[in-house]
Amino acid sequence: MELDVRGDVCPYPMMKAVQAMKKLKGAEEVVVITDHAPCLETIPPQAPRHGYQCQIEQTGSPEWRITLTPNGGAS
Amino acid sequence: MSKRPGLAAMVDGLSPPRAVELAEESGGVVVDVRSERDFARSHPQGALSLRFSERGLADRLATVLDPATPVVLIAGLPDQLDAAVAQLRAGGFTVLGFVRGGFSGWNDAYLPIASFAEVRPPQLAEGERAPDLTVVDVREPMEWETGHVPGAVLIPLGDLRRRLDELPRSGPIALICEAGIRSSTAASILEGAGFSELLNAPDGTAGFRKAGLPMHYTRDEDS
Repeated sequence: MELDVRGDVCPYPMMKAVQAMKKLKGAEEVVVITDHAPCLETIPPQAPRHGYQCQIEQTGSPEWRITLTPNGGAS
Repeated sequence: MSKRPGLAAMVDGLSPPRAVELAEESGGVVVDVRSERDFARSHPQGALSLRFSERGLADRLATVLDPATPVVLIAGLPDQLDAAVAQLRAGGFTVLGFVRGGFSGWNDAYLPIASFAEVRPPQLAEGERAPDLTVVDVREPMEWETGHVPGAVLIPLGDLRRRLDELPRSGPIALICEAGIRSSTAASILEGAGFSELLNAPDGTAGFRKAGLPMHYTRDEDS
């Protein structure tokens, strides 16, 4: 699932990412595209709480791709 | 009153005194969409701080204001004004108009202004902060659980208006969130409710974390 949350600010990007992880329950990865730097702090700590790992890639200035991968890979 | 081209000619530019009058007549509020830094420096007294965002502006406002409450906007940039009007109307808010000349116009009209002091991470650290300082964290519980300023109290922004009686009426109150945006909104709500000695923490919990200052976690408090 891809969540393009560019333009959103706290707390919505994090809340949308958590909502997606809860909904998918590890069935697939969640990719969050954001231009709000504070998400780099708020989303990663939520990943392990929902069985996901987090990777961040800077794709623009400012823009990031946050990939949330289910522990053990998507089932 | 005048219309601004580019604003879909659907919203009135109001002289600052007329903006005040209209807000009072309609039971509305002045919403300031400038940055939290500009707002802290100086803002219309009693205005609500809601830093502009390209998306989600109406949802953010609805967290702290009944959509039945009419709004008068004050903005820094014309493009932001246009987008703010469109977002708020799409979200069900009534936008009565905008303050012509923005905050400069307000200031030039000698209308009441206010400011907030800003507080930096070391001033919030345990053992360093003023003994009478109350620190209010307005993030969501799931953010709070991943670390917060020791000794802070959690009151999520959306709950703040109905929990005002939990806060001291004297002594300084510092508002903190993740990055200074929600805490600026919170400080403006408290100002509107008659609190004084308000401080915003523009660096937020992120700044506290980056400064390497010890944080508390929910599990520390449970044990």
